[in-house]
Amino acid sequence: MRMENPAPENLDLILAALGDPARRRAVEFLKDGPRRAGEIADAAGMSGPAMSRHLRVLRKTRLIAEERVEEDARIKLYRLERAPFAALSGWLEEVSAFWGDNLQALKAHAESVVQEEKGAGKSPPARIARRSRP
Amino acid sequence: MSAPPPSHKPVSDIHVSIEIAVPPARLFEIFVGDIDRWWRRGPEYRFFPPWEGEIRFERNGTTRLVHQDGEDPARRHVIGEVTCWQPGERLSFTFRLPNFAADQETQVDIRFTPTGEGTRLELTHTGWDSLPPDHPALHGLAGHRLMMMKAQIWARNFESLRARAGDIIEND
Repeated sequence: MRMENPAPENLDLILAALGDPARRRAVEFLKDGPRRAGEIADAAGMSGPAMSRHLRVLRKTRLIAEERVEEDARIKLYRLERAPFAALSGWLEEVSAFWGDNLQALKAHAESVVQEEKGAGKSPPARIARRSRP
Repeated sequence: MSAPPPSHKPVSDIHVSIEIAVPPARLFEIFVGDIDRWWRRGPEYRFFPPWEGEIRFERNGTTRLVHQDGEDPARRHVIGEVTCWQPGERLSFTFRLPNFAADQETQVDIRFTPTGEGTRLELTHTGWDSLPPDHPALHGLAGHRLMMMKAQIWARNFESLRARAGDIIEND
């Protein structure tokens, strides 16, 4: 396969991590920049400990990372990591390619068949033309 | 602070469309009659190794779309059953991957719309959200494109995330 995306098992972990609405909310909230755990919990309407568990999952799958504030090393911020999202985005594009590629192949085939028929000055094959019912 | 609404986005099913310079009635005939000739070969498009065999519609009371091995008659995958057959207008069928349970399926709907001397073909693939998140289709699969359609189960919830991923990449 031509994909340069994560191995399926890694992708499964990413998708599983993002399968939870609370974790998706956290990710959505972090899109605007790094935030403290308490802010993320508030934004998701959850308790700190509950959100902490979700953040741990996101961190484990490297969807987010911790960073310290320069002015105050006691303050811990969470930020989105770029790599998994880039991979996910590219991977989802691949999914739609299944039908896209097949319909492109249909187009090439159908147009070539009709061109040949026109060139030969003949009607479509009767066996197909009669096939009006399943 | 109150909790935001659940981040369930509108359904993000697969929509693919294409313009083909063939009138709808003829295109329909070619679609169904020549399906094995145009349906691409290889692990990204066929359902079992060696990724060849034949894709065809079979009539036996109902009409099924089948991937049949070229040598072993017993080796086959029923992709799905035709649910709508309107020549030149519409074709619908159910769509299953080999690892789906018996009661699990998705739906493909194809509309043929005339455009001048050609056809606009619009394909919609829905129903991925009906599979449970712990469905085997989601885990431990080889990396071939059909299996990767499992992502659509999640994609419905990820539309904004996907756009966000695009933003993140662009701003990188």
